[in-house]
Amino acid sequence: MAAAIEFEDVRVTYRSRRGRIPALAGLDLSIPEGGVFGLLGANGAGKTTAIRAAVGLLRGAAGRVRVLGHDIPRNITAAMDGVGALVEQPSFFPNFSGRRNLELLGRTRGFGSARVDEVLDRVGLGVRADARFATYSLGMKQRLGIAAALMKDPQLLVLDEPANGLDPPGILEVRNLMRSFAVEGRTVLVSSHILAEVEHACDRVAIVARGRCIASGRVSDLLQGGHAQFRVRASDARASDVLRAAGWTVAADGDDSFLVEVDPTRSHDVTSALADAGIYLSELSPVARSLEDVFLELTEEQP
Amino acid sequence: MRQLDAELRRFFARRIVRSTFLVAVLLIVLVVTISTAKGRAGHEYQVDTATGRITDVTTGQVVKSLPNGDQYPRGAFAGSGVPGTVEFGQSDTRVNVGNDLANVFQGVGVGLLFAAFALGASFVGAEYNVGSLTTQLLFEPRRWRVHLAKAIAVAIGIAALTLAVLAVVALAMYVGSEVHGIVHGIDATFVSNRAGQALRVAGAASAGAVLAYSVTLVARRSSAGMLLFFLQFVLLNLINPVKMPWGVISHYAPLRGLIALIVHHPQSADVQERAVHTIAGGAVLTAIWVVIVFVASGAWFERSEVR
Repeated sequence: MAAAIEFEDVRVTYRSRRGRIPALAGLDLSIPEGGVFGLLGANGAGKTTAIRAAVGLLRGAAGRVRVLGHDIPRNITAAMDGVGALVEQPSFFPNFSGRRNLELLGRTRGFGSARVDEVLDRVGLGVRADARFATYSLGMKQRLGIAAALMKDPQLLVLDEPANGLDPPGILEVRNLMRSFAVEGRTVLVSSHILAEVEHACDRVAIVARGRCIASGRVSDLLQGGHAQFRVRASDARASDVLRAAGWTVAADGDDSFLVEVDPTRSHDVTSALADAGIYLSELSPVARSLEDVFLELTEEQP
Repeated sequence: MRQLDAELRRFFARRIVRSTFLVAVLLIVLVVTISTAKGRAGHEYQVDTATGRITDVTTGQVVKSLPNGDQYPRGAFAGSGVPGTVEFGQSDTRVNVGNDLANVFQGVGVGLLFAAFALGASFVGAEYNVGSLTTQLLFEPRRWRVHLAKAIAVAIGIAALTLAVLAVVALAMYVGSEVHGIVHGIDATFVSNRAGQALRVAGAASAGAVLAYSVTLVARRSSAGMLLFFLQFVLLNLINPVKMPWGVISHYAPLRGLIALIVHHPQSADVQERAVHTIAGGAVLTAIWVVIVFVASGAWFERSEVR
């Protein structure tokens, strides 16, 4: 699968009074073309720095960044022709209306007012388009930022925390927008700290911590990966001791049930071990993991 | 051209630009109206200190009573025993567009130059402040092109603003002269000279705005861009440009070239008052500074992270 964005050993260091702070410490990540790709990470993990390097706002990063097959920043013009982006908070002139701001941006690319109206309607901002940007709510500003990103009808849409300030219907609209892009065969890169939202919207995710990618893949694979937890219910109180003695990690769950960590492909071993001890279970069910569980598990493992 | 078109629209849509023009027009109308209303014809008289007889110098006729406002310094001369005559009177204070417009253009031009520093610096300073430069660069990532378009937009915008203000000045003074003043010496040569002067002032203001814009592009704060040029004004008055070695700083400061384009007093005895450079010298000095500052700031902008 061709890559929409590739990071190869990308390093970015910021200077501060406390010394040099690495924002990206050898980021290796490939974001495939098509679908919605989520970039997850705690504050300061390097998500926004990676996005800024990809869209050319950050210059001087070591390593290699390629966007839609073009090296950044050398071929930034060709790359950005196919990229629409909203990076950090939407930034426009506060005394101009939303429409005026988009018209001025659009002029640099030869877009007329019809295209401006089109994207304003697509993000549901048509009614308030002529109000000053300064009077917009956080959610409306976010919508205008997304509208600006859509203006170029991009092949790759980069959205940095797009759900910021949006109400639940707004979040749903953004999710639908991202999905509709993916259905059209385009690529969406979204960074977010709302893990449930990413879990719903994204096909693939990467988890970034301390400037490096610590996990990447399909959401379903990440949720199923590693040791899963199973809920065990048995009438015999010795059941948990038997499994613990056999080497499994067991945790209390309720009065007559407990949780055991086991490779999903070897869950029948639990049944077998208990049967060998003369204990017959009444329930063995997988406990669904959320992306939040995976995220916390992986990031806590980092030194 | 599309980038320049967008930058020009952005420039003229700014409230500070419109406010500056409006305030300038209001001030001009106010000052010219007051000057026109208070303007008085001048009179020259001659008093014979022996006899006390007063003669109008212009007409040669004996004056029996002086017009309102003209006062004969009777106490100083009457019966003082000083032989001969003493001249007195008051100068003509009526608006005289033909005579005064050149000096008014100089004064207004210096004011416009400082307004240009503020407008040029704030053009990009405001963008850093609200973060809109980031959004623009996501649309047009060729930074040299963005830099050039902004600089040209600032130059054209400030030149248009300056010419408009000077046109209002000339028109207001002409109307004041026609209504209650003197209309004299307005011919093709006058119009040509004043048009040339207005273009020089507009050129200086444009160059000043581009310099302030370029400095602010690096400093990222409007105040830094403005302060650098306001401080030069102080520097120019503190350091004598003909006294070396420190005078070289004052002599070749960007503001010195800009002032030379606006204020041309080559005959003034006061070295601080007169323009140190000729108009041509001022133009060359200004052009050199504009190129240096524009290229240096562009090179920095090309490599920097924009937030």
